[in-house]
Amino acid sequence: MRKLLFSNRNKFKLIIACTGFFVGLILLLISLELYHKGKSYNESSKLLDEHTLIIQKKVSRAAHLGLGSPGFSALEIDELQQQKFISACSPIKSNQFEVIVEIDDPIIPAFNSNIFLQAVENDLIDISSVEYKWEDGNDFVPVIMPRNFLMMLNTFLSASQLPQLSESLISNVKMNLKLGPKSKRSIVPARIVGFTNDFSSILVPNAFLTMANSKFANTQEEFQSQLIIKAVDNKLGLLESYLKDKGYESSEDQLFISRLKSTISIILTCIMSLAILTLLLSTVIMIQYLQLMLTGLTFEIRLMLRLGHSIKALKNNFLRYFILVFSINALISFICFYFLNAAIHKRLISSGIIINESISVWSILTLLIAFIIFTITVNFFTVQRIKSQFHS
Amino acid sequence: MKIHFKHVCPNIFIEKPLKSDVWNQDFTIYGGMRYQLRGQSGSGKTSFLTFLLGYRRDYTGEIFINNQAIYDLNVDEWVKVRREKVSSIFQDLQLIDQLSVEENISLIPKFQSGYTLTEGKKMLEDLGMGEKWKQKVETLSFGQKQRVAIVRALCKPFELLICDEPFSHLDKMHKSQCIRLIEKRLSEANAGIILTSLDGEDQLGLKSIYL
Repeated sequence: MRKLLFSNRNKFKLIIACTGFFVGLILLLISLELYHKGKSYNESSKLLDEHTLIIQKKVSRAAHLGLGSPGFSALEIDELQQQKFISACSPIKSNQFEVIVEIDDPIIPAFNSNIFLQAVENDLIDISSVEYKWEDGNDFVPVIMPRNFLMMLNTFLSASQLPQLSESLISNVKMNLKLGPKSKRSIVPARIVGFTNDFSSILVPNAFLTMANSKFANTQEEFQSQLIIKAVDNKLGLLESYLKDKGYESSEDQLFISRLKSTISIILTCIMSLAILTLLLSTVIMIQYLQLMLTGLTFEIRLMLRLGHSIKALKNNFLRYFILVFSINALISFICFYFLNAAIHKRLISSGIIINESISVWSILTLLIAFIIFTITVNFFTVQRIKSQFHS
Repeated sequence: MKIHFKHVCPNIFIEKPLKSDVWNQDFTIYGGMRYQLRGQSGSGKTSFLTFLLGYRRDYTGEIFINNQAIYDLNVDEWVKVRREKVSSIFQDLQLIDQLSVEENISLIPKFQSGYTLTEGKKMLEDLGMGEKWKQKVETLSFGQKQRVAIVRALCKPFELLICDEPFSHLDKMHKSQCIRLIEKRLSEANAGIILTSLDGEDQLGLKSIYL
């Protein structure tokens, strides 16, 4: 029956459709992969999402001369909270007393350094609230270390000709926070629960810093030098203009990465749309080829039905053929995509951008979805056409 | 297999006054019976067969197969009828020219129990066409094609054999050979036959029905 149905067919349209399908599938897979990788880039060390910024006032000569406050007043915070493009705004608390971090572990030499502590509302950072929680009476305080601190520590260890510490190793090192002036100093054990590139101070839970400030600070008057704000989705541009007008600034790196990721996302979304369009067009051409094939086989199909073949058996012949065409196409596309992905990865690595090399589950899922949609479409059109021949 | 025509009339005959054993009558075909549809050209012989096989529905009245209206038969039931109950030799033969004789016979979805392609080839040999087995149908004469169509129909299981002018291009000798073969298969299967022909046939013991 295969010889009857599929031999001596002009396959020009099928080749055109397969080429489009091949190009569309590669474009879709690679753009989806890059989109996914772009989204997850830097995510493991990111406490703040791409819509959240840390802002402070620009340091001006006037502020230096005491003519303007470098901190945010309650009125200014209130004004920020009123803006439609800001979904959340909260002050970043800082320690108002002396803090020394001390490494107290036999595996590395004694090390201590004056540091700053900061605390933010847990809702605004991406960390497990189970780990990052403190209550009076707890054995230790969980802290989030700036990566710069680890680099500094490793520099110190290298200078002492000692092996450097990885993130997982230092998480197990015994560490204390010495709080307050020498006269009434309190030592609190600390444990590292995460690392960050977004903050340059050690982050501690809000409750802990509130308690420590009330216990060790000379003044209870809070000075808000930094705020953490979250922009409404897709309104980061408005927020940026507003901050510029007001003379506020945020970390350029943070903004640059956000802008870059946002731009890349838009470009990749455009490529993805183009790829989906190409795939749809290829599917339309393939369905046209199928329709032409079925029209050309009207006599043969009618004869088969008259001889007693079932619609299902006839349909399965066409379905098997097109599934084979799809599978070969998908396999070649996937192999090309695999090597293209590896080449892009190699290029990124050489440019100092480290991303996950493995192929994401989304790519496999996309192939599966494309397969299901294709199969359903071919099945539907074939059954319709054969059914129309049944009583003729 | 019992087939009943209840006041069936082709749409094209509705306006015409008809004198017929079938059209606009109650007419029943009983299992194992042998009939010959007789009538002039254009009297509706082929229409009768195509209505019965469910290829066309341009008629009024109702047709029943084993007391079930054929309009109520679903696709699966029709497939079963076409596959196991009825076998047909079409007027236009319905062979695929680009395929060989063997491949054309292989197109049937199910062989009669005890029959295989070998029996099909043997039947063709009995009809003097053994050497044409691998030959493409397009190279055969119409009479040879008719014999291939007859063999293909006889290889299928059936309770009713429907033949639409099956011997129109056969000479006397080949016609007799075909009739002998059909007679043998009808007896084996205890099946009935409906045959249309412009001329009378007297070798199969057919009962004439006038359209």
